[in-house]
Amino acid sequence: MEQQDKIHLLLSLQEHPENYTDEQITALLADDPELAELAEQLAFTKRAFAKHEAEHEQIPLDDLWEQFAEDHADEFDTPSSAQQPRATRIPLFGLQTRKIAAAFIGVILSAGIAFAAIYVARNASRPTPQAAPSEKLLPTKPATAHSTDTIGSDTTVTTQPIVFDNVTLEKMLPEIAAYYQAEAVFTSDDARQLRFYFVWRHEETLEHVLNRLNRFESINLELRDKKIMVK
Amino acid sequence: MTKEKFEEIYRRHYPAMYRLARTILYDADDSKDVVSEVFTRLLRENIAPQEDKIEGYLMTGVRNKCRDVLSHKDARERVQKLYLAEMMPKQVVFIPDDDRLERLMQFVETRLSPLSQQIFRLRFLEEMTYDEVAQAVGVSKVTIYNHLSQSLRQINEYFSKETAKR
Repeated sequence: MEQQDKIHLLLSLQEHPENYTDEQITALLADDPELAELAEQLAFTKRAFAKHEAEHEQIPLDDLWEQFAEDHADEFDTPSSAQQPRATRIPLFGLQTRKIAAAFIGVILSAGIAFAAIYVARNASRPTPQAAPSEKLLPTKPATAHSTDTIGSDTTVTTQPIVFDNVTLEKMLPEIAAYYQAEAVFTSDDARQLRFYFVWRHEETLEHVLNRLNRFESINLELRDKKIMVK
Repeated sequence: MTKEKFEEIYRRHYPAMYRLARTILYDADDSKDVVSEVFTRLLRENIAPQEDKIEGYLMTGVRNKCRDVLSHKDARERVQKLYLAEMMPKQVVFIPDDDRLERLMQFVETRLSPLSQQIFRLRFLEEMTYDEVAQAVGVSKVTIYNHLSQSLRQINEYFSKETAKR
């Protein structure tokens, strides 16, 4: 086929794609690299035009922001909660610091915001009357539950914290361990099925991560020569 | 994130995000939807990316989202709307096409006649039919066809030279 014929075919394909089936179009382009190249060049040129146009386009930022802010009005943090120092919560709870994290999750849970089956400290007596007033201190983020899938795979920004949302220790720990070239060794089968809501940042040291995990009740991790022993 | 903080980020990054989406999806409303979705995801992030990573997070988000949108179009729609297959694997902010797009546009503006450019824009960007374009510029359909065909030939030559250079 001469170049002129290919151009003709491309223009008619583009003008009347309804005259062809999807398979026919795919096959036409697959069978003729030159035709496919022409199509790509034409598409690239459209892109160049679109970019040029977009650069001269007025963007009504005020209106757009107003609309966005209205649509998501409930999802912003209130400034007071964001600035509230964490330490002030401690006397409110009257619990040991190591149990704060667990109780904190309990509050989110009882507020009905978040997650179905987080493993919460077994023995921590979390009196709901005490916990309830602290709800106001929490950043209000309804429906912030992301699964690890959407967070992990959707973007390549590597410093993105990984959120394990209701994930078993059996699944979570090896993933974390692998990043530090360590290995998770379960000496107790019970521990495997513990579920967590846990935020992990890559820049943390392994020791720090384990330290934080150890704050959860009924989990006991020990690092021995690149092996994370789970008891 | 507080509303004030978020507004600052929104206003700072919106234009570049929108323009990137427009370059890939062409449609203004589709592009706005994509940008909105990416901002919504940022808002719902339990732990926001660090300050200096936000731009990368947002631009990558737009690019990935656009790729998602395109992946749901069938071959017919791709040909009709002239969507460019997104071949680049997941890129962070780096947009290798930018330069090439600008050089191509320069070529178009200097080497294609103003009438050819106008016809190209009306037909492919405004998505007018041949009849509508013919009416809009006051020439025959055959002339429209000849202009488009001529433009395509020139663009093809341009790409051949570009490839030869590299």
